[in-house]
Amino acid sequence: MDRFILTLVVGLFAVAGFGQNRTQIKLNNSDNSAVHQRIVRDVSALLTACNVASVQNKAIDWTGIQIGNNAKSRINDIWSTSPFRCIETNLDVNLLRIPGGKFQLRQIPVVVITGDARKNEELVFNIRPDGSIEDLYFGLDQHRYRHLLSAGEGLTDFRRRQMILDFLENFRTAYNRKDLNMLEMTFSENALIIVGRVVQETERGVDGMASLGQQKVELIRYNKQQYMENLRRVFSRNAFIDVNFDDIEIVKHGSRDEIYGVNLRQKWRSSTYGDEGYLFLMIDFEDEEHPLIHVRAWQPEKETPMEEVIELGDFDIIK
Amino acid sequence: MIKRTVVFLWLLSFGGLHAQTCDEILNDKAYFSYRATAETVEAARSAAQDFLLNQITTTVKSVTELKTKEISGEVSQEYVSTGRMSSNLRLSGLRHVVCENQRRRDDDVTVVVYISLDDLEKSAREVENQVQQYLEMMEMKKLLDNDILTDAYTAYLLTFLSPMNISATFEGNKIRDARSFLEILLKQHLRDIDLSLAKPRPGGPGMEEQFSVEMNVIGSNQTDFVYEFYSSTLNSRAQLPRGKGTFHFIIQPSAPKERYRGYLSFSPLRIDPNVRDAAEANGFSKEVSIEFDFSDIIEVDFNIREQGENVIASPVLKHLSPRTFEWFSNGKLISTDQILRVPKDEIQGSVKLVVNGLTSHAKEQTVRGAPIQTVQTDKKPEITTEQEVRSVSLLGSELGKLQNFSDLQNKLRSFRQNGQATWGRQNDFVNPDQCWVIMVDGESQKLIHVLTPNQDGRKDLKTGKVFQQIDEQFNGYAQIWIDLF
Repeated sequence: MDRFILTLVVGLFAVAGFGQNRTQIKLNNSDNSAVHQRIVRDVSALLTACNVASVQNKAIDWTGIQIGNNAKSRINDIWSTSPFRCIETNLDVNLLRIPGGKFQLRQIPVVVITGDARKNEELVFNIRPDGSIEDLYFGLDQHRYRHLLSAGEGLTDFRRRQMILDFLENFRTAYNRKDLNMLEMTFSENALIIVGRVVQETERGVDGMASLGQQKVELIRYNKQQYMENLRRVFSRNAFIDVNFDDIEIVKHGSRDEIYGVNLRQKWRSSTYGDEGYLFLMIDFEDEEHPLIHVRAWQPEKETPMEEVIELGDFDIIK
Repeated sequence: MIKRTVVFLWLLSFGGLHAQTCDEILNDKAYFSYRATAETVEAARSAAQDFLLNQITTTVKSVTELKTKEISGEVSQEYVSTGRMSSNLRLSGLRHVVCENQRRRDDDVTVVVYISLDDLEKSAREVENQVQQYLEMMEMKKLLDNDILTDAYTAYLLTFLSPMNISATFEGNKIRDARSFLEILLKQHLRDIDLSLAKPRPGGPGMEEQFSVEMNVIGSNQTDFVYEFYSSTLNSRAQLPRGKGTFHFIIQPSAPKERYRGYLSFSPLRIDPNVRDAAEANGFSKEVSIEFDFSDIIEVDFNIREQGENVIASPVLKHLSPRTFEWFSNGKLISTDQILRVPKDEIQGSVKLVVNGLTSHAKEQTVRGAPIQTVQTDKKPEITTEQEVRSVSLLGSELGKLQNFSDLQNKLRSFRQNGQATWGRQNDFVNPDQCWVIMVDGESQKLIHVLTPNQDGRKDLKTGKVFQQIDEQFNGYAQIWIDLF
């Protein structure tokens, strides 16, 4: 009994005092296969290592975690700007199947530490068919995720929506990783990039005094190279970048099944700057393994009326 | 010219392939084959193909119903499945060959349609792969707490495109027969749902027999389903998209609560075009029992007056089809006639009318102390004889339920055998105002209007409208004038 009390006290101290809690996941739909066992072991070990590293403000200790170098490198990139910890000790999760025989774990609650801020996020683990961790993203809002998936009409549309949401989660997390390579590969060579800039129009009144004037949005067009160069500068001068996507809407093109339009609200927060705006992406799934963005348009939310938000119908597609 | 060349080349290429004769193909165990003879190659091919497909798919289509039986208060449910032939298979590798040496007459041609067992297997695997993808999607949606029944329905219909039973994997379990698995899933939904009803609302003046009632499917949160309720007794059906809708019916209730049986079925709002044919032939339905509550709208009243030494009372009923009348005075039964006609001295204090034994809706009027209105008149009472009540409420409403001319013919024959009706043209009747008038569309043979006898206008039982006269708006329809008695 004394030993039990001692264990309990030590356990509470460990969790409450240092936050270095273990996180053990359990698969609700496990078949106890070797693959499932590996997933449970590696994901639990990685989350626990993150919990320890976030408290100690150190790099992740990968000892005992079987993971490929590529995945390790990507997670380390996230860690360098957005370390996190999971405060749950036991997590019951569903193992989802995604295209390509892969698996996915969603809704793993974590607290992300960016600068002095703490923010609740949900992790998404992508897992290879052999059970090894392939990648880790910050997920979209689960309610929205379910809604967007359920709106799919039939098998193909469901799969595409699944891929778009997976792509958006990866795209969003690319900013946390400062992953210029991924972003560069994502934009097509001839991508049209539109950025709205607020301009103040001042008018002279009859008395010669300047009136308050009106704020207007000027749309500036960039090519891929110009945009990537801007992004490179942004990445270099910010310790962290945190991008959040809300109010996502997915629209399939009327005549081209492989083209989708995605409208969403983007919240951008970095060490030096923050804004909110409407983001439109035209995504081409002709090569489903490597979807391409043909159009990226951003407009400031406050100054852009809803009817002027750029959407898929605003473009003629010539391929 | 191009067309001819193509046809010629096709024949040449077919000739090249035609290493086996018809008899060889028919006797070859590596093929499923069937032979048919007709006047043209196309007709013979089509017939042989139908036979072949039916041979492959004898049990492909099934209509499954969950039937509820009530014996001595015990309610039991059972599934009833009826098999039908099908030719909606998705087959790749179906071929045919014209048997030149099989000619029976100069203008007949024999064709053998065949498919190899390998191609049959391949076709099944193609469908199986698609069903499996649906099951994986269902598995994913289930884990995300999303609805899976619409996909289950589509996958279930897809199985009918396969020439063989197909297996699948769901949630890590191997399923030997995907169709049975999906059918059970859908039947479970059927078992879990039921109908709830609001109180029926009667139509406006002149349409008292037309009711509408709001229906709700309970036990379902399916937003992608359209449900349907159908009652053959009431001859009406209601579409309930997303589980809600209005059921319209015509009835003259005889009790405050009346129970009817009907069928509740469901299908997705959107159906994959690839399985539309299968959807038309395969449905799920369940027999349900519904109860209408008319208690708030039934009205029983009577007019009472003196006539010489007698007191005469006649019932005034609303939303009630009378079967029996009981007149009481001071608690004593004084008459069971429809019209009360008794000497004044038999009335003690009050008169009470009970119709159909419904004491809950009885009407009582005090007569002593308040003088009974004395009326010397031969005016026809509101409800005169049992015969007339029956004519209007039963025989007439039977006409209203008929849909087409042949139904009407059968009904009129039946009326004539029972001595209940005569019919003809308007000029055949001395007082055509007392006739029912049926308007028949000559082309479709449908009964468009069923008009009641003229009492301040004719009410159309089909539309509920009241027409003051038979005029040019009915031109183009055949008119049948019927006297019900």
